[in-house]
Formats: sequence, C-alpha cells, structure tokens
Amino acid sequence: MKGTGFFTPLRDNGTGEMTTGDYEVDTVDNSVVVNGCKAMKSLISKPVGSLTFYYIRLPDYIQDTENFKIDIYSDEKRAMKIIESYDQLKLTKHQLRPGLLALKKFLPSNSYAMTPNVSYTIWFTPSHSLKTTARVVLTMPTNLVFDVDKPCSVNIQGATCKVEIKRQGFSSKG
Amino acid sequence: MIKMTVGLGRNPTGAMPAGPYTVTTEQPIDNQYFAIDSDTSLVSFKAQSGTIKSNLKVTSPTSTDGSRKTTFESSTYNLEISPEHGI
Repeated sequence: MKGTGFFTPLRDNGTGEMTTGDYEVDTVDNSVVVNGCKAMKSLISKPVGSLTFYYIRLPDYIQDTENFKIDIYSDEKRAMKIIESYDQLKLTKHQLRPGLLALKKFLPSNSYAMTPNVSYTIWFTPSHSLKTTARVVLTMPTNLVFDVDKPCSVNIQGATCKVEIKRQGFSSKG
Repeated sequence: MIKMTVGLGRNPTGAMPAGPYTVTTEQPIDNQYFAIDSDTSLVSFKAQSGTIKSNLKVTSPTSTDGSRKTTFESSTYNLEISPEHGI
C-alpha cells in the first residue's frame, strides 16, 4: 500500500504503532509504503479499515492541496495495482489555518492625541521561518492617519518596506 | 524577532484607542501570496489627552501700586488658555 499526496512524511523515531520494517518512509518520493495484509492471505470484499500516519508536516502555506492517493498492490514490488483511490481526498485551504504569530509590543513615538509625525514600532515573532521571498503585511490601526510618501523600515537586512493606503485602514508591507 | 517601524502618521483625533492591528507573514507561490502566520491584537495603544496651559488675570480694577484689590464688588477676570494641540 503506497500513499502519496499533500503531506510531507518525516522519518519517525520508531515510536509509531507499527513495527519498524512494516512501513517505509520515502522523503524524496514524498510517500509512505505500508507492507500490510501480512496476516491475511487475501483481502475480503470491500475491506474497511484505517491508517494513521504520524510525523506528517502540513503544507508550508495556506492553499488547496493536491489529491492524496492510496494505491494498493498485490506484490511487494508494487507492479500489480489492485486498488486505486479516487481523487476526492484532499485538503482545501479552508481546512488550514495560519500559524501563530506572537505580537510582542506596539509603541508609538508619541502617545498624545492629534500629534502628527508619529512613528509606530511593532515587535513580533512568527512561529515559522521566512524564506527570502516572503513578505510581512502589517495592517495598522484604523484611527491612525498616514502619509503614503513617508517611509517605513524593518530590521531585517536587505528587506524593503512600503506603505499602502487601503479603504479604511493602512497596510505596511515589509 | 522582527521589528517594523511605520512612519510618519498622525495619532487619533481624541483621547481614544487607536484600534486593533494585524501582522501576517505570507509566502508567494506562482505570483500569489499565501498566509503562513498571522495574529491580531485588539489593542495597540490609547491616545492620551494633552495639556492646556492657562493664566488668570485680573485686568480691572487694579490699584496704583499694581496689587489686586479683593474688596471691590465687581472685577474683570481674563482666563487665557493655550491647548497643546490644535482643535
């Protein structure tokens, strides 16, 4: 039995419920092969059961995933396919949620009402690492008024930052 | 920890909460950005009221030596106030 799809299997530490050797994790092929049915000479008609995979990493971002497939073969070399899953097994982006992001502090340079020319500094820590192509979208409080031509800054070397004005709030992207 | 500074802006027009703010990290795939991490804080900061400078003067009547009299039936008081911020 071979499973491929949206997940990324990670090599476990041998603490799974199945005995090591009864399954293989192929991180290159992004698949898990289970040597099942050893206790039975043949499958019954319309067999019902479940497989639980541990140490699976979800997609890196919120998106609809590719279909998850389970194929069952009658031989160890997986040359003779006997059951092929339909394409209904998939994760939609609505089933995934963003990870946590710890907001540490919001600090204006001046906290008095109506004061102009105030800079606002925000500290936060994302739970996942960022690739160089990633961006950070900071949606500022709606009761603040910004000048789109004034700069913003970010403490990551090489990163750029710009202010965009939207309907009611203001967004800063870095 | 990531630090972003946005400026320059103007604080709320009164002593009121500025409002919530949201930070989202996103990753581009095929020219479309997808969320990775996100959180919203319902509290950013509350703008404070400024100060008003004031001065109270008695302009009439005054004695010849400049001191204020306290026994006159009527006097004129001028209260000068200078708000720190525009109204």
